[in-house]
Amino acid sequence: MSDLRSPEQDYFKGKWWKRKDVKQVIVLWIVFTAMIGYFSSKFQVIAMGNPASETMENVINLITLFTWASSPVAGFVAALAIQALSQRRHHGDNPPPEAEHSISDSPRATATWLVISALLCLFALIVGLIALQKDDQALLDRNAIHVNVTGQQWAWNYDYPGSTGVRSNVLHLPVDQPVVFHVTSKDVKHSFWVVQMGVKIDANPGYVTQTAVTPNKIGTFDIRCAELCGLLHAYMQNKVIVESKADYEKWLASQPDTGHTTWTPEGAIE
Amino acid sequence: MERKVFGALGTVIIGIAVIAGIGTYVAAAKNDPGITQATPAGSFTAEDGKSYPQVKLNLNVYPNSGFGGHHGAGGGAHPDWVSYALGGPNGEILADAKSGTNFQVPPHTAVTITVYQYDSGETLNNDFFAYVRGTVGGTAKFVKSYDTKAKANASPETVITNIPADMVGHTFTLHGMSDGKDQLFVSVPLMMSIDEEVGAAEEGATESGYVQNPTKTTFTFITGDEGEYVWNCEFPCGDGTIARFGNAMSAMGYMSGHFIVKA
Amino acid sequence: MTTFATKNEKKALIERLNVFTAFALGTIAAIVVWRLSLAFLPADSESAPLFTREDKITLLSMIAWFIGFMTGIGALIAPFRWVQGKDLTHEENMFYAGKDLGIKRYFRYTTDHKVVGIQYLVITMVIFGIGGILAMLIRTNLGTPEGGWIHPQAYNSIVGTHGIIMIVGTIIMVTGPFGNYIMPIMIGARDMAFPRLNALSFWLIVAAAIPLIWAQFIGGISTGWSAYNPLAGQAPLGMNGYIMFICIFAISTMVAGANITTTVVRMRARGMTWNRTPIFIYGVVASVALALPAFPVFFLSQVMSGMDRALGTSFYNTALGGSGWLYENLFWIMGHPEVYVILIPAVAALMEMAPVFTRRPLFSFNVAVMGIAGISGLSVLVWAHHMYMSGWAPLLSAPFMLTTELISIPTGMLFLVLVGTLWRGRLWMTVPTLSIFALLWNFMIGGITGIYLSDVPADAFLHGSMFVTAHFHYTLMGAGLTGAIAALIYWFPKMTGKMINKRLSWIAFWLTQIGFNVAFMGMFFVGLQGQPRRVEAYAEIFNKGNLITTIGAYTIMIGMLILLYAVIDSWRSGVNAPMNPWQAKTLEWTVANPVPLENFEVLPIVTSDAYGYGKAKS
Repeated sequence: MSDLRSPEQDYFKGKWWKRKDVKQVIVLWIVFTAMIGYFSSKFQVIAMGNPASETMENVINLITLFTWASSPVAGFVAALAIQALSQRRHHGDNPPPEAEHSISDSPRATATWLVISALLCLFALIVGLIALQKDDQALLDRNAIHVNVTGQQWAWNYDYPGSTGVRSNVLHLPVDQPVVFHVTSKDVKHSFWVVQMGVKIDANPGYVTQTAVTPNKIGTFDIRCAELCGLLHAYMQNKVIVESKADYEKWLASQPDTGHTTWTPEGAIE
Repeated sequence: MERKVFGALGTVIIGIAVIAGIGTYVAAAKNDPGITQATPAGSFTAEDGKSYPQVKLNLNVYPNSGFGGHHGAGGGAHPDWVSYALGGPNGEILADAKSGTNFQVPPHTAVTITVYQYDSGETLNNDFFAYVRGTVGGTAKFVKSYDTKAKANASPETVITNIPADMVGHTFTLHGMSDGKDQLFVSVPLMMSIDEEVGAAEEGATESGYVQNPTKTTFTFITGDEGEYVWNCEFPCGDGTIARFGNAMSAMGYMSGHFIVKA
Repeated sequence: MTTFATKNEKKALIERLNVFTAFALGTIAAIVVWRLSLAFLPADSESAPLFTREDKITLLSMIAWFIGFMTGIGALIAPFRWVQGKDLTHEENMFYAGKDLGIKRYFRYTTDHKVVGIQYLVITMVIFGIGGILAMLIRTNLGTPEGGWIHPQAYNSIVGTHGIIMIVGTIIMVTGPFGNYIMPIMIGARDMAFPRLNALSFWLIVAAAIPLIWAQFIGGISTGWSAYNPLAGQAPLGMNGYIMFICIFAISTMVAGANITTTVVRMRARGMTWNRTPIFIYGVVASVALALPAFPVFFLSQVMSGMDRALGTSFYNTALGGSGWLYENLFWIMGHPEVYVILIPAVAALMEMAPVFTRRPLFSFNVAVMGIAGISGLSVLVWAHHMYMSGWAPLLSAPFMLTTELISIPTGMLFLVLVGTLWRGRLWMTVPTLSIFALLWNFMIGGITGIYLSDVPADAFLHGSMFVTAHFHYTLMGAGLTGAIAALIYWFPKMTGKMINKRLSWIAFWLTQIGFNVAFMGMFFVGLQGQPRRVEAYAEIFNKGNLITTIGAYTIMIGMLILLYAVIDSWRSGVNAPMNPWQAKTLEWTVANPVPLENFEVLPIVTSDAYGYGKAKS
């Protein structure tokens, strides 16, 4: 496209890999890739804490995997940038002398870049599709218990269809037991987020949405609303208590018999 | 050069001053009349024999903001909004209640709240809140008609676990965020007042015209560690808004407030 | 004062109108309509599901303001004349262009693209100032876990106003000042294709700003900038201000988009083939061309929202048969192209500067154009990735994941162009040069975190958390705003005739960049820990990360204020700039300072691209 410059100029001439700046970039690239991958994934794993379900373990693995997969790209850009900075820099009010070349393109470099970024993109897509498939499968688990989740301005409550009409403001779940949540809202849009289990689904007024998870750790975890829902959105949270099967049954039996549930989405009760 | 240093510093200082000024204005504009400390009231012995210090709070619920004082003369900016307010020890209307709907109680204490409910009622949109939850014994003491003039129950006191979901005036629902500590959750439905009396109350803008026989609900719960909670009404009473949760329901000082557990 | 005023003895109407008459007429119209509608609109029925009277009154008053303001500024004079069968005289047109009007032309309906560019620059800075103040209030409130420093609804409103005002600020920050001032000169044109539309697009933004400010005093925008329904239907009267603001702003964007696109397509200098058109022009055109399909949808979504509020229709009111998902779709059909409307011109500006400050040709112009085109094309196909968790269409998650991840390919091309240009260049260490490095760093982080979010299972954890907030600040602020500030410093000499103070802008650069990374790394951390977005209080485990973010935010504030001082001080009393201080080769550097009214006495003829740097031998 250039009108003035000779088109045969290219970076890849002769023994280009023996040039000093290329060698510097390669060393920096390896160092930066390792550093970026290591520190970023450490940052993520520390922040995301203890997963309470396999779904969450998968989320953490996915994010770490993406971090490691993209760190060579980030490392390469960083290496080129730092190498460029380490060259002769010019300060002052007048421009530096012109660069020693006038290369305006490098088909080989751009082609390589395109192919690699397409491959990385394909990789991310395949990994994502596999994980998505797993999450979708969980909704169909025949052994799952069902919990109806109702969000309303600024509280969650949980119904246990199939019980004696047990309803609670704290979610109790038996460990290692698949559970399907049927989520809806009474007023505006909320988002039901079981933080340490890595699942989330919006609670829409007038519709029922589903999500599923299998808690695999006994303990107390957090449920937070993840969609701005008005005045007390910040306080629209409560706990999920994951306990042994026996403890769960005991809790269920200890709840007062209300004799009815308010609503039963299709398929929620066998 | 010196001029530039001063200029830059001056800009930063002016900038901070502007932000501080606007921040102060916005903080003041919340128009929140302070925090009410609950009154100490002896001690409370739980069913398991454990004894706790006890504090008390008296609240009233009105069908409009003309009463209770803390919205200002004539009910303030929105006289037709329903509102909670601090009440007298026997359900009296406090025309000069300076404090709004923020309360503070000590940790590990029995908190006894009495609510005199002057408003009418309808059906809850979620009967979960028709049940008494999180109080001592899972119950509340309920009086269908309380004579504020005679300062006595006009009907017998009963112990309730729930009320019909289509007769709810308001609810007192206390909750907090999930932060690794005990999580207080208390929700008590407040029975509606019978229609004729509320009708009279809504007509008359004066104290004398007000319903004199509100429903009375008393409940006790035990606080845990220190923490920040909020409470709100779960009966949809923001008329004319979507899901009836706008207006009074979406403004602090009316049907919601802070609830601070702090020594 | 002007030639024909003396001729006609008394001043013509066209000369009397300015921003003051506009404000006066707008205010009077609003008050009159307000009183009239108060008096004549029927009261709401007690049993109505929705009360609409006050919304009607508010919206009518705001519409009256809008019409009054636009009349008062003089936007209707030319159309009115046209209806009468007359047209403006040459003198009147010159008056409109601001000839010999001095400082006054900045307060009038002036058509000269250079005046409009400066007007845009100033209003962008004002918008960032207000948005920044709101950001500081948010961060101050979040400095401690307990809420309650300000009313929760006021907090929600501040978050919403900060959001929408910054979105608008970033949309106009490059295409407004530089797209109007620099772009026509850069392509060798005397003005825009439609100079009066240019003035219109600017004054519409001023007209739009008032309802947004008005809204703050009647309940605010307590829904966040996305104004999801049915929450927006439930929100206080302030929502009407948001609705009016968006409707007027959308018109402004559409008008500007049509104008800029036409100008670039039709008015490039002779010889400026598409291959010789500077890359910045591609960025500007891609940006406004994307806005052309996006903003009518936004306009429509808000008209429907306003009808739900004021006329009791139920487009979105679920209880009456409407759908919140409909709103979400309309909103994000605008909302996702819109982030590229912001980003593309900022990156393109830096690509324009890269060859100048490395003294070598732009690396792979064709790849740069492909990258911009690829992003623009894909960006209209990805909107539902904002709705993975909404339950609207679970089966579409996979296809939207595909389109979203595909965007990483053209985005990668932009990175290639920038690092390729840095490679073996002769770096001239100016603030724009540093900004290229800052953009690479910030945009890399913003881009990679975007890949996590595009992945549905990971989004099931991250959606609606502070992680998302940090991600889009890295792209829109870390990449976008960095590019825009670099553009300001780069084109400052041409626009003001002065050099910007080097040392002050250098200090400002480092303070903002360091503060920015501190602030939003802290935000990434609390997001990964599980802190939801838009909360005024939070659990104690998020305390540390939030405190770090607040400290970072204050650092940004100091940096931005120093930059503000540098701009004001250099504009008033800086060193006079030479015609071409950067020794750049694009056309805007071939015209004198200050730029003459018609830019070029003789229109230039272009014979090569603008990137002929470097020594030609290999």
